Amino acid sequence: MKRIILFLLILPGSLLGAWAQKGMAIQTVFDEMAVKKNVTEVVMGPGRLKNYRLSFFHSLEIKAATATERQRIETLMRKDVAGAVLHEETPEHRLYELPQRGGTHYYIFYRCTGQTITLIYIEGKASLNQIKNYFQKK
Amino acid sequence: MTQHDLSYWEGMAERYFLTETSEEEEMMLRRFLCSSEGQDPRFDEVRATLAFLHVCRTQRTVRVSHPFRALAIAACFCVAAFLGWYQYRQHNMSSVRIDGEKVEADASRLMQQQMAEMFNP
Repeated sequence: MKRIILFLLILPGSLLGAWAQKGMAIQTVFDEMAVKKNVTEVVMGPGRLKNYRLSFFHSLEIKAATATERQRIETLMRKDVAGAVLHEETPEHRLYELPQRGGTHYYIFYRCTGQTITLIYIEGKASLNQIKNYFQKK
Repeated sequence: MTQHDLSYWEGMAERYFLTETSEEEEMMLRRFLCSSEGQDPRFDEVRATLAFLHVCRTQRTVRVSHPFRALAIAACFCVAAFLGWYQYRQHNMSSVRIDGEKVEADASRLMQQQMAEMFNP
């Protein structure tokens, strides 16, 4: 009986490690913005991303973003990327790599062109260069 | 404890095997066997017998079937099945939401498009 109870207690714990995005400041942005007009949200799990060596993809594309929305997104994002180990910033886009945990890389990509904002959160084994190679036009 | 006392306990052990001891005397005998004087080799037999009976009693207690055992096992399988299904679903998850509404769209194509835009400004 004790073994059964222990099994029941341990099993859900195996799911708790899933997706570190939970608890990050940008989670608020995803939660708030995904239900708004002019916003496209894409979520993909590891089964769909194995060709890219990624385990989680979450993006928001916000068209016609207001200055307030933009400021809020950037403020929250800045909290998460404060400890970034790598960052590339250009006037149009920003790429951040957060500290690795257990061999998994965590990335936040941000792009703002005109009134369109794209915010992407990624987890996976692929390095930033590998991700660039996958998606950059040759 | 004196030699006389040991003789007394020897007598009690003999009476124990003849089932002539009362419950109270059995308790006293157990207590004596746990004491340093009770470690005398003369009491090995009675100590072994009492220990064996104690183990049997303990085993029987553990093996008493719990009325909810079958229910607990069934619940355990249900939880395992649910978590397995949940993990499978999360593993192959793919969803697209446009204007707050979930839509049937090619998430993979949208991802490639967004990533390409990110790296090819």
